[in-house]
Amino acid sequence: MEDFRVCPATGLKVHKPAELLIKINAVTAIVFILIGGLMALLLALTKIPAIHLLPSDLFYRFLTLHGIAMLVAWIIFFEAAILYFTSAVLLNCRLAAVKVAWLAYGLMLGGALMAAVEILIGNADCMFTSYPPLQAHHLYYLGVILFAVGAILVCCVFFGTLAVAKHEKTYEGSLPLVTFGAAAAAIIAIVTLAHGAIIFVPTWLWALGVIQHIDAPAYRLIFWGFGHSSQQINVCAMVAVWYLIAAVTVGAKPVNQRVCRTAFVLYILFIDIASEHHILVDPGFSAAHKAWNTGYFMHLAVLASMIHALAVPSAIEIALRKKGHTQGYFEWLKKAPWGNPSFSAMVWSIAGFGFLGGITGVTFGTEQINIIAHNTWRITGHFHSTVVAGTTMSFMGLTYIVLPLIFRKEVAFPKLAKFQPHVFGVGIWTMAIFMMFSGSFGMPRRHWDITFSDAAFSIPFDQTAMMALHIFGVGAIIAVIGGGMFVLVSVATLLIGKDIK
Amino acid sequence: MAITSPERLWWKQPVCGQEKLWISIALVWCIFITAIMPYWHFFGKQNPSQEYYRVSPVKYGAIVDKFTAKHKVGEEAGIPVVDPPPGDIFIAGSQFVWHPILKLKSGRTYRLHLSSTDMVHGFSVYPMNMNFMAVPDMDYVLTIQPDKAGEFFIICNEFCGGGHHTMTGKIIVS
Amino acid sequence: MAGKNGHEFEAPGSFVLIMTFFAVFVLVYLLNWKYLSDLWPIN
Ligand code: HEM
Ligand SMILES: [Cu+2]
Ligand SMILES: [Cu+2]
Repeated sequence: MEDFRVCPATGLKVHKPAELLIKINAVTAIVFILIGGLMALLLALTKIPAIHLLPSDLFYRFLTLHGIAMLVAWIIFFEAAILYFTSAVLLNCRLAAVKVAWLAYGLMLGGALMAAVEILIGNADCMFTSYPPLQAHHLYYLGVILFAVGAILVCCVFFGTLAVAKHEKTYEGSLPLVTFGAAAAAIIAIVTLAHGAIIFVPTWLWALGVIQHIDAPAYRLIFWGFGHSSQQINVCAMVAVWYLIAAVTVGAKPVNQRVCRTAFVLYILFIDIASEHHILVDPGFSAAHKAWNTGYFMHLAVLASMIHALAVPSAIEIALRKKGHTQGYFEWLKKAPWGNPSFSAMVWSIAGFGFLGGITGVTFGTEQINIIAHNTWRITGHFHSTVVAGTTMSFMGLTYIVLPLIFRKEVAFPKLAKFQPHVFGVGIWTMAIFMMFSGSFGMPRRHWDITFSDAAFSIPFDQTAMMALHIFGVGAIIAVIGGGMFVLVSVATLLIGKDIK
Repeated sequence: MAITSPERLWWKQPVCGQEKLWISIALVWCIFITAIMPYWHFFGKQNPSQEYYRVSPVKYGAIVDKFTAKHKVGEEAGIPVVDPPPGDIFIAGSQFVWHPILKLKSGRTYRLHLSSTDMVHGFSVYPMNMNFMAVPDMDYVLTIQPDKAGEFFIICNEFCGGGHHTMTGKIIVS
Repeated sequence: MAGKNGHEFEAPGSFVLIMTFFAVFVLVYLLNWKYLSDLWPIN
């Protein structure tokens, strides 16, 4: 029993080794968002035509690093923390296999650092997608593989903990909704990472010279079975975090658990299969196949998101109306706890994921419409809406809950923390919207020089789109400031935050 | 609450009217956006091609060279210009150029073969904003019917190596 | 506004919000089809 402490605020029994793992994974995530954010600043300053900061080789190198540090390291380390939190802490349970959890952490950290170093020394200028025949150094692929193995182990520890909790009867009845959502994310993660292994192991052997040839179209298919599905882990985890933050900040109760849980099950069943929307304008599949894949199946997953999109705000509204904010349609919204950074980050996340990310995702993922979106900056704007305005924002909101609850520190610079979600939100929305705007003129993604100064034809790119790049730049800089505020508040809380007894 | 175990018999709680209404609307919408894809296949004019063949990069390079030699009418910026009759025409992405430059006639139908002789490239026609992938080992056949005259540029929009941003090409429609 | 027995519109504000969302969704989606139909015929 000495392994547990009782949380004075919630009465939950907290397993100390689990707590330490949550802390270390969250802190590592924040270190990676700092690295990724620095890269983001340099990339944005290069994309602003009037500044054009980096030389081309560094632009592509840092773009690769930005993708890995953010999409892989920041997001997945944080998700590891979420999985431990939603299993061990919410279920009052000990974490199963603490040693395995540490091994997982070691593999993920080692793998991420290995990949990052290979990128930085110029051995992997291939973007995080590493489409063959572009080839990186074999250690880069090995780093990714180690990271993925670590992530699989995290999921195993999570499910082990669920089993222990069930067996030791640490909770009554069904799993809490948040844990159920996290479990859905973990199931998707295991399927996804299996795709990752299927494609990265042969590619690694190819880089080692053991295998002669990697089929480019086949790689693209299987890579996106991994790359796209892993975004669904993020969606699922983000929605679970919405329910969590809504419960903690305003005491929201899901309107109907059956509906919410069914929606999570739809994610598990249908979302993996939608991954072909990345290769809609690739050779290799019949139209029937593509329409089936992205249509019927994907749209049932979309339906799930639309269900959550009403369920979460309704739960919040009902909770706030119970507190007496019953005037008209929107008094509850006006009187909501906007000064609480967890709450405001969650609202930004819901709105950003829905209005910006979700709508554009469904639209651009339509088989034919993809022709006018594929690989343009519309796509870059779309995924900065989903994975940044949506997922990253919700994880920031969760951080403000985890700091007092798990780290037992009062959040430092509360004023700064209060404004942080708004600054980041305004920045990322501006940035994403103007990315998509210039993308609709055909602005290519992953492109260093839109003036085409060294190209065979110096294409006169649309002036409106060029202007939009400056507004994009302003948004990006505001977003970087908002991200900086997040890192500053978190780190300051850890270093100088007052202890909560 | 969402962070504690739900009340007993949570699965028996009826769905409220508001949620039912929204789920119905959403479901109808999802069915609509699914159905519109096959609809467009039959009645729309812009669809991703389903025609493709396996071809090695070396062989594809040779086919394009032969095609270029046969229909060459000049050169621009060191890239050959071809003026082929309607029918099968070829373009190749190679680090870091799209070749040859194609002269096409408005209103005629062409079978544009698209592939790469090395890396994966992105075939993006500017300013029309029409995007397809050029993948090595695959000959992707797009049946196109240019309906506006003018100069169109090709931008590579998939990272294909250090000179990726210099990779451009041209299609002239008269 | 609050319905009887929790079977009616318990969260009217959220419903207005979701309808706004839906309107934007439909608009963006249909606009993109329009934009697509400006391309050359391709198949
Ligand atoms: C401070 C906020 C951020 C800014 C200013 C920013 C900016 C950028 C820019 C300028 C690009 C290059 C786009 C291109 O030319 O193709 C980019 C790419 C990307 N960003 Fe961000 N970003 C930010 C945050 C994030 C976060 C938090 C994530 C993930 C969680 C993320 C994921 C990505 C990914 C996956 C790419 C694509 C990389 C590739 O094409 O290989 N970004 N970002
Ligand atoms: Cu290229
Ligand atoms: Cu390229």
